Amino acid sequence: MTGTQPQDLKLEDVSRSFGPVVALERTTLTIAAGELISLLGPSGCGKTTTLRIIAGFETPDTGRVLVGGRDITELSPNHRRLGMVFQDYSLFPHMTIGQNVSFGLRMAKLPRAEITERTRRILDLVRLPGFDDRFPHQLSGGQQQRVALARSLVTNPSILLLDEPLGALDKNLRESMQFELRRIQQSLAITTVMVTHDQEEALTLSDRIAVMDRGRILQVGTPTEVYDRPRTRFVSEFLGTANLFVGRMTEGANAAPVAVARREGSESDIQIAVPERDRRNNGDTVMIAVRPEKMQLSNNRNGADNAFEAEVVGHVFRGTHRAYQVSLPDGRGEVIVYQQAGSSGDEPVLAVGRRAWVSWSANDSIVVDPEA
Amino acid sequence: MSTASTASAPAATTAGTTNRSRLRALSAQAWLVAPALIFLFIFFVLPLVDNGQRSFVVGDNHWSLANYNKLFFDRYYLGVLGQTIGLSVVVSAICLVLGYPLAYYLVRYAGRWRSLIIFLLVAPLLTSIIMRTFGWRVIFARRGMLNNFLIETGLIDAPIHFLNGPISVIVGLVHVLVPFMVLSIASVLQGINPRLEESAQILGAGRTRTFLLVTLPLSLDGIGTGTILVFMLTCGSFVTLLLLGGGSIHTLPLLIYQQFNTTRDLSLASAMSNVMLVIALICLYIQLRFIRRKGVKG
Repeated sequence: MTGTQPQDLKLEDVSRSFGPVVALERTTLTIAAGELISLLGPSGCGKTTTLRIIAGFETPDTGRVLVGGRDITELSPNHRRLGMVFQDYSLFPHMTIGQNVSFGLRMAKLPRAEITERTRRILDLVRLPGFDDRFPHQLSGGQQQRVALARSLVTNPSILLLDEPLGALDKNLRESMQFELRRIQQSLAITTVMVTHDQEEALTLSDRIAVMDRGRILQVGTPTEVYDRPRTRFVSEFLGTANLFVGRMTEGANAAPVAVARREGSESDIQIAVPERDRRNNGDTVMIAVRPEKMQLSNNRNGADNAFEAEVVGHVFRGTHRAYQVSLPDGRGEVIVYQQAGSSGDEPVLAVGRRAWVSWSANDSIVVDPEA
Repeated sequence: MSTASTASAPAATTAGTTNRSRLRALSAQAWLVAPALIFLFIFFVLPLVDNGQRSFVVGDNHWSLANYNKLFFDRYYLGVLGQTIGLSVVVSAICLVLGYPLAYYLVRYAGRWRSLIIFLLVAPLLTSIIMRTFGWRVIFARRGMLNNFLIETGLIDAPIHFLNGPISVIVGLVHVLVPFMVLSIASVLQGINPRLEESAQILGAGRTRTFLLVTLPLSLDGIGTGTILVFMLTCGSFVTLLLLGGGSIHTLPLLIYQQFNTTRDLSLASAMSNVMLVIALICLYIQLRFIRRKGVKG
């Protein structure tokens, strides 16, 4: 494809309210040329509103939308030269696949020979050659998805918008389409904004993720940054699972930062060593998140920075790992610990009622903002 | 265990009596529809058969196609048939032009005003047809509201004869029939995903092309249903034509009325009503054959 030069996308101070409901608070976000960014959050978090503002279906109350430095805020959707794939594909049911895919080219009034050629090439790219004369209802969900993608890409848009693109597919198909989508997006190097509520989809596909909640972007970063260093309680819980502790900052041996904190439901404090970069003033209230897979279970106390003795309350097998539910030292409140499943299934299973040590490194204690 | 045994006990007893009880249930159901069936047979099927038979009998029990010959080859009757169909076409077309935008507004923009608009639409159907028609007579009269208004605003010098002419008939019919068009189209528009229109827009189609290439083709079913409905209802309408037409337009129902009351040629009236029946059946056939074929599914 002779793609146009990828362009960057900028949201400057954009906001939108519907009556008394603030769908999107003032938001600024820059998406680099060729980058795939996910807007991730629960329904009603403002991600779809953001996408619709970029598409031009919603007019922002404040702020500007810039593509390659050009202000498109006032432009109607049909003049924005964007590509968009909707959750339900939105293929025109009364048109053939060929007519669907070539729709944008026909709107641009290109010569017929070029329309035919580009339609053929894009159907090859999405691996649906020769499907021109079929109707959408004759295709499977995955095929319709790829037609929708082809239709949005055939016009060489400067930006590609994906609204829950894989939401309607079943699990196996979704996984293979993830690779497909990534392959096509990267081969065209097209700037892409994807809206999703599926954390796995966001982690797999994105260069960067913007986690949203209640009309605000809480954190923007690479999948690893957002997952390993969540800045807020919401981010830590929305992406994966987090064991949260609430307490106060103090100093331990060698003036190392330590929090005296307890798990919700528990009434005894434990000492949690935190990394130096997460140091707060002594006496500050802090919330600490620890990922279940960063915790270890062992029979004896090991040399880890953080450890407490606990009792196994229950466990379930999850294929790639076993999830343990263990109580805190005072027998109240619980934390979740993931233990990697062994390759031959010979991993000893800790029986319910067994006492064991839970431990993790100070580096895996993440201080998060409890309010957001 | 106790639940299992209580569940299996009745199951065993029913197994033996299944056939008999099913038969009994069926006959019980038959009794439920029997009154309606008997009613329809006596007051619908029998008169229809009688009517069909009578149309072929001329004079003293003399079988003949004379009536139909007259209807299809006599210039006067052919003209009446033409006027009936012509009026129906005009009324359907006006209803479509007025109804489509309203249906579109209703589905896409009305929001919380929707139920109010639907009520206002259906309101004419809830008033007595006589009242409604006399209402139009008051408005269209020589010294009526419309003429007074036009004279006062200086648009005309002398009153226009709206009444007893095609205009008052068409206005009266459109007034009653436009809701059928709007509701037929709205129900189909309702099923069109707005995302389809947005897809067309993002692909570069402006409002007009989005409408012509996506919305309109997908709503053809509604247009078809509404048009056929209005067409059939206009074909068969009588009171409006009688009270607002004043003899200026001759349609089959008026002529049938005339045959019964003035000419007393029941045989010809029967033939005319059969012709109307055939028109209605053709409409129904078109409806069943061509509409809801290019399904909007998927």
